[in-house]
Amino acid sequence: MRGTYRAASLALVLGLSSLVAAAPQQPPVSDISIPQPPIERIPKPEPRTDAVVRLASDQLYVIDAKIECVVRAHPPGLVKISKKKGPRDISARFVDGSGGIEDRTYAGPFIYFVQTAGSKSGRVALDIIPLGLKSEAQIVSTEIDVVPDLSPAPDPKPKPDPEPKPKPITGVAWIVVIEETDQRNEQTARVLNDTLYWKGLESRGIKYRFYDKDSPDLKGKNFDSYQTIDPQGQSIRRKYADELGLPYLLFLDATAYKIKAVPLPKKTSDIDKILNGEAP
Amino acid sequence: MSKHTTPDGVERGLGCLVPKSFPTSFVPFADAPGVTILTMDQIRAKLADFKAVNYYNRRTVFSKKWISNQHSTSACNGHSCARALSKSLYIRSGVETLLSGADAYSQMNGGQDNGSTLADGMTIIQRNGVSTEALVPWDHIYSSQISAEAKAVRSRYKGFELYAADDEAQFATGIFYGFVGVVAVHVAGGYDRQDGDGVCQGGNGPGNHSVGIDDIGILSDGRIVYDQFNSWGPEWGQDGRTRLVWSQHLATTVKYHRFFLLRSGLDDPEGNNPPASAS
Repeated sequence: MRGTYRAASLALVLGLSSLVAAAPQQPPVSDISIPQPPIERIPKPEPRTDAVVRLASDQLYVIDAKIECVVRAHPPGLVKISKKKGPRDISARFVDGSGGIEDRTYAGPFIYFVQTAGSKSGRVALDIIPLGLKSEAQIVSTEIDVVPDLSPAPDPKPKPDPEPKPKPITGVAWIVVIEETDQRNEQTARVLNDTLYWKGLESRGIKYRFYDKDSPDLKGKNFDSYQTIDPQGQSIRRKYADELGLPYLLFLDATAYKIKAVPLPKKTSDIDKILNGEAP
Repeated sequence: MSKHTTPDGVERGLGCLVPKSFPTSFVPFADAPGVTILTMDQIRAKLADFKAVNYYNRRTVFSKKWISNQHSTSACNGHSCARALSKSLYIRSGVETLLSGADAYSQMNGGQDNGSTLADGMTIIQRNGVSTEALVPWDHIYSSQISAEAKAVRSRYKGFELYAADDEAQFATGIFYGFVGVVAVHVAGGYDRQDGDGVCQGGNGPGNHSVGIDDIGILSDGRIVYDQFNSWGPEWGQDGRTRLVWSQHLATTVKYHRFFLLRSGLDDPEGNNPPASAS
């Protein structure tokens, strides 16, 4: 369900409406006068005791502003910044979100996306500088830890619930099954040939497709593997078949973002349980 | 070319030709790497557990509108191949495209309405593809009648990984795993009639008619039945269908014709397909 998202965050005097997942939290600039380094500074990543937002490669850091700004990151090369017009509906994993795909509306009219630029990790200092700047106090500064791997950013405030329950998957546009057709067995056959079930998914806005792992249609789709970071910090690809076996099932959003990957369930009703958050 | 007049009064060509030599260039299902061919006892036991006359409920999945009509042509093989491919593509994607039996036939008949072979059908499904009924109606059975646009559409609808099935165990395993098959039957005697179980009452011979199989089941007397879709319109038989028993209808024809299974299909390059994932 779409809704208007408003983050509790710093509001500039000149109307910077929200800084999504501002960490550390900064009080209204008008109320505080704090020394700000010059704009041309080259910051050193000083250790901080307070929590810093972590940005993974599959996440968005969104700046929502009522006034036009320049957003600069130091050092260069760790993040890329893009400017968008608002208001805008966005479906994504947000750095301050629940970990899954969420739908949010940002009012704008000036919206800035901060995303990882590649495979390098490190701490980035971010300066948000309103155009027509009258004083350096109007600059909003924060820091982000860039960690470009597939894992969602861990919650900086771990919840006390020791047994987190699965949540419904939202934003699914496609369910794709990859199998080795030569090795189809009775159980797989019953799931894949429950055609009335699969067609019924259309009423939920979900389309489906089955592929043999050797199908030429799979070339370039990245349905066979995913990108992650190995312990040495190198970007690598891992094959789903190695981790899940064949056949496996991918839940994709409309942009083919892989929301979830699981072994093919034993029954089509088990697929519904995953969609509904009744099973992992 | 022999003819058969169906109960609706239409004289139809029996156009499934016995090839001059048994085609050997196709890989049998049993030789596909990793395949486990079930025994008939295993299949019988599994079907008995479900007590299903139609294991995959394909008569519900594929309603009467999926039954094609070759009318007075000898294009049965084209129709069975085209419908089998349509169904195979539908099962894997939910996308309904009725492909043209006439177009498939036009690629196999050498410019004459004298029939074609199952082996040729297996080849054109994989190599060329089949155009749509909307572009190639039933009576456009010659290549000269088919537009360039229709021919260009063929490559959008192709099969993937087809295998020959040379005995009942191979064929039954494939149907039991949900694949769609194409076979030859022999139209003779009481072929137009069914018994109380819906089993076809005719047909023992070398085979003169091509049909599709899309389901399997078991009767109360333990006989395994194969659900056949015909190309004589939805008014023939049971909504265009009948049931076959291997020993009665297929055990002889399999010696003369190369039965085959469509295990999968390819995406329509111009269709609504899953986009590539960025990572």
